[in-house]
Amino acid sequence: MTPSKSQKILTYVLLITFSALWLFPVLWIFLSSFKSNSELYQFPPTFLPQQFTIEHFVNAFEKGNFGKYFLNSAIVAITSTVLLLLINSMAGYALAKYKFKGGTFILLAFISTLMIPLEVIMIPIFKVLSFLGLYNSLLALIIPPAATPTGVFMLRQYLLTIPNELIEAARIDGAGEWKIYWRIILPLCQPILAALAIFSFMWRWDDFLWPLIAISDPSKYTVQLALSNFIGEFNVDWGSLLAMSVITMIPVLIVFLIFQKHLVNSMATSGMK
Amino acid sequence: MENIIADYKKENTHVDIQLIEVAYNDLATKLKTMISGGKPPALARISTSEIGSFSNFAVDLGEQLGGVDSFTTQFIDSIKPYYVIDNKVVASPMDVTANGIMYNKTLFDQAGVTVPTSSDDIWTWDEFNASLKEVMDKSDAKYGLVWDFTPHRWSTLLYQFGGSMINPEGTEGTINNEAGIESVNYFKKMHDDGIIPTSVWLGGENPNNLFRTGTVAAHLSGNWMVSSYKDITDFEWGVTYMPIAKNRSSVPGGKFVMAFQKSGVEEEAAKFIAYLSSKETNSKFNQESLFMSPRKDSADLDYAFGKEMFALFADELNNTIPAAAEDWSKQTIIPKFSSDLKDGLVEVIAGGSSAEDMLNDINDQINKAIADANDN
Repeated sequence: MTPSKSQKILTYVLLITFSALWLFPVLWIFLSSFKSNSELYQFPPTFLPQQFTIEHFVNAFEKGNFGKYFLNSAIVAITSTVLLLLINSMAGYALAKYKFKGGTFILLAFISTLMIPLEVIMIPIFKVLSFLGLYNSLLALIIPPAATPTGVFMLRQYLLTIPNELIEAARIDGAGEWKIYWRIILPLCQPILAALAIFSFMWRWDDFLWPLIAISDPSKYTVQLALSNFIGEFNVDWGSLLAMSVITMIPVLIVFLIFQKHLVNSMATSGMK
Repeated sequence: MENIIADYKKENTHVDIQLIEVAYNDLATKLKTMISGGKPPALARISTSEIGSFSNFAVDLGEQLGGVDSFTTQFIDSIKPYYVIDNKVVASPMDVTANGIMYNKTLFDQAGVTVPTSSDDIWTWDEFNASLKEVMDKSDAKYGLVWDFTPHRWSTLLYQFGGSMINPEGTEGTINNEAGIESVNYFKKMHDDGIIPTSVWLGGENPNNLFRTGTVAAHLSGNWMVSSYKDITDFEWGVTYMPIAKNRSSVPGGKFVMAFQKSGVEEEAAKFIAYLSSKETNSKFNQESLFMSPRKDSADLDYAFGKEMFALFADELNNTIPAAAEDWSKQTIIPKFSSDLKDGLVEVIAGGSSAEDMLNDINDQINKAIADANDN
């Protein structure tokens, strides 16, 4: 059944309205980052910059060591995402397809940690990290979030939908367990892995509270920590904050664009129903 | 600060100091985790509210700084209760702050209204309101006065009306006496009259941003705003005397450095604090950062910007009633009721409760907090 013309129009109107609503703040941040300081405070506020200036971008890069912060954030977000995909897919696979004693208990234990917010376990994790000598190093940002319960749960649920016959057939053909995981399970998981990769990258890139606690050395700051330093007790350096916020949006956008294509592709081509 | 550290390192080659900048809002979280996680920093620059939370973990600096009495006499007396707790010097003052009023000179000139130029012809609050009204009528001003959304800044009015929050002995609350009620009612009246826009206290709008738009005649805040407003180019602004009610008063505050126990370098930290507190270093720090020095012997710094403004803030501080510092230095009690006081003021302004009821309620909380503190 094809939708009638009026239905189509209505759909588009709704879609456009909501996209505009969601895009407006982002667009305004983008445009405002090119306004001069006095224009930022002007009343009534302007939408388009009247005097186009890139001084905030220049200032922010001169003031802070932003190149370094971006590198740190990138290292953290990428390595921790790769680790997360690896660990979560293994754990999710084991919990979905292998029957072993205590499997359900482990799953429940995993899921129950979802209920505990970071604020509660912050000090214990901090103590463990400083015991291991990881305090104040980038590893402290990479390792603790590498096995998120959300990811394990997502993968387990997804893998449940893959028929056991597929795995059994592989076993009959003589494939080892590693080979099955590597050659059959991982490729089948592509869409969910892509989704998880987007999430994980976003989580790590936007993470603030944990890096705040775990990192003290300014040369190991991530972008979010550096951004928060534009906000003083009494003043906010809006210009620099806006400029750098615009730049920090870019990597997340790129990652999304890469994996989103992947996500749609693998959904369309996975033969199994 | 970087320069001061570099200088110190040059003289003390065996010491390495790493400066960690933390956004003010996140400072308490970070310090708490570092201390309870067993990794306290050697020292931290903190505000008055952190002194209360962390004084138990602080190194007693008294001996290292030359004895409690000889150290404290070097600094202005009003802030002493902040950093001397149980006769221990738990922190050393870095700078002192004073609440005060900044005004939009361009708008005042446009309206032909003049501000007091000496402490002899200070406005009363009624006169100040009339002047603001005139500026609003005769210039492009949309709003008369914006007032920082904190109980600390509101309390300026309380002290000017002759009120206080706690009695000098610290044994009971006094916030609900006649002066207290009068000051809350006056605060509400200014909102009702449209002098103060309700968007700040009821809507949470940032008063700094509003003042920067150039549509607000005056801003009640403090000397720290000078370094922020310095880059305003769209209009001229200045600092003027706060009005007088029963008396003149500002509210002192400030920043301090505290050294922490179990950092492993307590002695070195204390030595560095002694260096920071010396006349030469402290004056340099405050002059360059556009802050006010808490040292009695460096009251007259040669600021590159707004020298006369700082003189005016210092004058406000010299005309401050003792209750202001006595109240706000009780940092074991203040946090127990300050956010309720803030909410209470909002409710009174919104018309949800009367000044008497709200203050009676807060006073009960103060008395309870005092009783709890004595029990421990």
